[in-house]
Amino acid sequence: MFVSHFAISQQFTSAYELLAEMTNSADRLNYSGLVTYEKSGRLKTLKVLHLARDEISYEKIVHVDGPKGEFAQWRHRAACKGLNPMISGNDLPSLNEDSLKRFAGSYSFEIRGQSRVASRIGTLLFIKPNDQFRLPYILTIDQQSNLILKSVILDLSGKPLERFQFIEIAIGGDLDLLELPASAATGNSNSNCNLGFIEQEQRQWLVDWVPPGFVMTSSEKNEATDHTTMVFSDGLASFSVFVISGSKSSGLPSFTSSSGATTVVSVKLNLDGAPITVSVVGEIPQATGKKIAQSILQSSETTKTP
Amino acid sequence: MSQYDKQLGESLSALMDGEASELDTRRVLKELSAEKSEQAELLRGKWRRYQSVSAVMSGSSISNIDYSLAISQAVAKEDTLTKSTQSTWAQSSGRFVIAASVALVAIFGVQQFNQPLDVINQSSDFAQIDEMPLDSMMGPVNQFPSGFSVPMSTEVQAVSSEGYSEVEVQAYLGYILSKHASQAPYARMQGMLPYARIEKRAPAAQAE
Repeated sequence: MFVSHFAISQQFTSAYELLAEMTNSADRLNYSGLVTYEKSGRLKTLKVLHLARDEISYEKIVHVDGPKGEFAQWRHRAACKGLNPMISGNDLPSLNEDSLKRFAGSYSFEIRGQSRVASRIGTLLFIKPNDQFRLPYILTIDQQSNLILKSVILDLSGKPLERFQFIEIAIGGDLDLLELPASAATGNSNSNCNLGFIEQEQRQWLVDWVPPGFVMTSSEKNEATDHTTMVFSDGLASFSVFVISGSKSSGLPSFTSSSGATTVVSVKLNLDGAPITVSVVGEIPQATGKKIAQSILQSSETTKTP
Repeated sequence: MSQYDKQLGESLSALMDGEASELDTRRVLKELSAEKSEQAELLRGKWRRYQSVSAVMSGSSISNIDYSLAISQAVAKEDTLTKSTQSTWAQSSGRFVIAASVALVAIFGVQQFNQPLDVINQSSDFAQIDEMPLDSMMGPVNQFPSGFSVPMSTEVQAVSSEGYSEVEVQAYLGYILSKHASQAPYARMQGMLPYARIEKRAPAAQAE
C-alpha cells in the first residue's frame, strides 16, 4: 500500500506530540496507583506515588509482594530540564527540530486505536525502531491525562521482554492537596540533573560507537574509586556505560546477561597495556551492548589525532 | 577449546536454563567427579558465575555462601582421611558423592528459578544483595583477614586465580543495575516506570 510522505510525517508529528505530552504529564501530575511489572515469567507488584509541587517532585515506590523494599527520592525539576530531548525549558513541550529529526530517524510510529487499561481508555502507540540497534515498544497512553498506563518492550523478533502496567491509578483529586512528606527532605535527592548534554571529548573515556541518535545525557566520575559512569539516550531508550580502570577492574569477569528488556554486557579490555572493565547496562539488544562496550577509547588518544 | 570442552560448556548452560537432557546432566556429573580436578574446578567456577549473574539479573536472591569452596575443601579433607585406609574405589566414590551434591545444589537452583511465583517468594528469605559502597567492594579480591589461615587445596587456588569473588560480582551487578534504573528516568519519558526494575533493596537502616 502506498503511503505518501506527507501522511507519514503527519502520523509522526502527532505521535511525537503525544509522547511529549506523556513526558510532561509524568513530570507534572500527581498520581498514585498499583503497577505490575512482568519479566521472564515473574510478576511483581508495586505501589507508586508521584507528587509534584512547583519545581520539586517526590517519587516513591513500595514493593507490595515478595521481600519488603522501597525507593523514594526528591527531584528538582528545574535542574533536569534539557536533559530529556522531549522536555524543553518551557512549561509546554515544544518540538525542537534537532531532537525531532533524531527521533524520526531512529523510530517509526503508528497510532493503533484504543485500549483499556486500569479502567481507563488509552491510545495505543506502536514504536518500531528503524534499525537493529534498539528495541520496539507498545505504549498505552491515557486519553484524559496523557499518563503512560502500559508499556511493553519487545525483542527484535516481536516477542515481549517485559511489561509494566497500571492496574489501578488515581490522578489529581485529593493528591493535589496532599502535603509533601516531611521525611522526604532527608531521602535521596538526585542532584545529577544539572549536567545537560555533555561533550564526550571532555571526558577521560570516549565511547567511540553509539547507535545513531543516541546522545550523552550525564557523566560522572568517582575519583576515589576511579569509576566513570556515562548515560546515553535516544529520547526513548537509554543505556549506561560504566568504566573501571586500574587494578580495581581485575576483580570482575566478562559476561553477558539479559533480564526483561535490560541487557548487561561486561567486557575486559586492554588499552595500551592498562586493563579496564567496561559494563554496558540498558534496554537495548545484546549485540548493541557488545558493540558499544568494545568501542571504548581513552579520550587523550583520540584528541591527539587531528 | 576442545570439542569436548565446548560440549561441556553447552551442557552446563542447558542445566542452568533448566533444559538439560539426561546426557547433559551425566556429562556434567561425570566431569565433576573426575580425578583430574582442574576441569571440575573450572566447571564449578563457571556454574557459580552463571548462577550469580542470572540471579541478580532476574531479581531472585541467592545465598552468598560459596558452596563450591566449602565442598572443595571437604573433598580435599576427604582425600587425606581416606588415603591410607580406603581403597582407591572408596576414595573416588566418596568424591563422587560430594561432587554429585554440587550438581544437586545446581539442579535444585535451576528448579527454584522455574518454580511458580509463590514458591519463589518463599525462597527469597536467603541473603539479599545489599547496596554496598563501591569502595568496600572494589578492594583486593579473595582477601582473608590477617591471622586467618585457610587450608587451601590446589583446586581452590585454581578458582581464586580467576581473580574475583562471587559476592563482589553480585554487588557490582546489583550496583550497576540499580544505578542505571534510577538514573535513566531523567533521560527518558516513561516517568516512574523504570524504577520498577530496581530490585528489592530496603534502606540500610531498615534492612536489619
